[in-house]
Amino acid sequence: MNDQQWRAHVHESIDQSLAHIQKNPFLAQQIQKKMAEKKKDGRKIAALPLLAAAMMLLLLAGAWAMDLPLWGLKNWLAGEDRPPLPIATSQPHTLGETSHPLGEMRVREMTTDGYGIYFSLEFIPKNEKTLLLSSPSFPGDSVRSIGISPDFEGQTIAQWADAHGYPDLYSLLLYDADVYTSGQSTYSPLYAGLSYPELEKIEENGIHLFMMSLPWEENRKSITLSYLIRKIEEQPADVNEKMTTMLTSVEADGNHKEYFLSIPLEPAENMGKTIIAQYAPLSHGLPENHELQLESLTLFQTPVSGYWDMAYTLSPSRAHDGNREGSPWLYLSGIFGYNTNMHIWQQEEKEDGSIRYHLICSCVLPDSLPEILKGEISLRDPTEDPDDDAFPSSHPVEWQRIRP
Amino acid sequence: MDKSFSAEAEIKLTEWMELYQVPLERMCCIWLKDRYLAQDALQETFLRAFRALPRFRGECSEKNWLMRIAVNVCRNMQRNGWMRRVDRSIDVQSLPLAAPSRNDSLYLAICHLSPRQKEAILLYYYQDMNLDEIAAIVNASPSTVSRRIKAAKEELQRQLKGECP
Repeated sequence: MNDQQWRAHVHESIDQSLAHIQKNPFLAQQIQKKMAEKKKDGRKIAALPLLAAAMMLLLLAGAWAMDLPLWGLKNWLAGEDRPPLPIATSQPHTLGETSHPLGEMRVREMTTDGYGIYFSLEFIPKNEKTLLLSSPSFPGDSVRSIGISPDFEGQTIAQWADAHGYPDLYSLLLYDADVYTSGQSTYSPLYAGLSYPELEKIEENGIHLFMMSLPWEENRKSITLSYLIRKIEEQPADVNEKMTTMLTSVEADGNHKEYFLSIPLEPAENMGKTIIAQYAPLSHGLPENHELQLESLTLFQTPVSGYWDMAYTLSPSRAHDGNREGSPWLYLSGIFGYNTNMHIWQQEEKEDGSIRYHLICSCVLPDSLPEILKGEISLRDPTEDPDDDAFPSSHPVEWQRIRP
Repeated sequence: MDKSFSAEAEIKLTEWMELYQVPLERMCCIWLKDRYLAQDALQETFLRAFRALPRFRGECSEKNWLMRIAVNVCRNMQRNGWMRRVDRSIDVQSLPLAAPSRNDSLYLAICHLSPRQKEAILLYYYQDMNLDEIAAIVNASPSTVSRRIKAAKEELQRQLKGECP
């Protein structure tokens, strides 16, 4: 059967079998009604471990950020405690709905290096005593329990807010709206996108600063951010229920309008990169059935940020294994810390049908590099259903530095 | 009605509904194996399309753009906790309102394909898209899409055991 015959057969079969599905004359009204109700669902936010990590970052930032007078994009990219990087950042014109009833939202600084887009978003509240927290602070969660783990001895955000005279807490939910609506969100490295910033701080004049990044994409001309601000209620009706809801979806309802910002992007400047060190795999605990060959780990630096680049190859059978191809469910952690929003995937197919992947991630490279690098690779069992969101297994891995 | 629901966008949305409503809903129905979820997916697709309309820059055809949104909506619905806990492996034949037809066998075989293969077959043979267009939608290379279609056809032929002409 040729393609044309297949096409005709598939059309005929589906159209006959689903002949009962016909035009719904009320569809337009149903959609308009849905819009009027401002219902929105399906916005998954990052997984709990990432949220927990982000919450800790938030607490740490809250504890010391106010003492850093020059804190900004350069400091952040330099690792906060180092001298600012010698890069030129721009202050792009922020288009769209910058005005919110609670204040102004706009981009303060931005820079790109061909791998990542780094920017700081500032929120200038109308009332200096407005405390805006990023999404790890679940809007439905009790403020008294935010950030609390059994061995945590610091202040909760609520205690800090009380001590500093902030009467109300608000949560900020941020999305990369282009990715969300383009259909890429499920599998894209931008999935987590801008759900939460890497760091945030409050400056002395009450201005909130959110530091963010996302992978650079060729041909992308602008970033469209959507943001939603909601008051954090102290006592939700049902904490467990709210928590569950917040882990799976975020809804804009009639009381919370979604705002859109647009930030034009300049073409990425070719800043070049410097290879800092290369490592070869020394040992790993990866099971054989993954048919995954670790190749190298390269550390390089652009004028904006340090990066690690892990190269590995999947065998032809695994690379083209039905549902699994194109979905390298693999992550590397433990290498100089990493930026959770900044995973860049590159891939190339070899002549034998295997596929070489590069997983590139921003990091702060230390002054003194170790001879042996230790990390942990998380990946899914290839025998599992790829559509099952089972938690991946972790495997230790070591690389040995290669001297030229 | 929402003030932002402009007349121009409303006309565009109506036009799209007229053209794409039925094939989109049928595709979602096969994907989600549930008539009512398919209706939800269809509404959500048009809703997202309407919201994103000001940002639609015409870089692809409107049909491809809608397909991309529909694919994402279905994927998201499939991946939510409820869908993953409900056995939908056998309910195709008992779909409410689904009428048996002489061509059921191929339809049922398509329903039983893996998600990726089903996606490729539906977009290629039912939505008449080419490999490049599908690749852009599913975030894979054209050669990957081609391999998925080939594997899907082999699986369909295996399931149908000669029924397929």
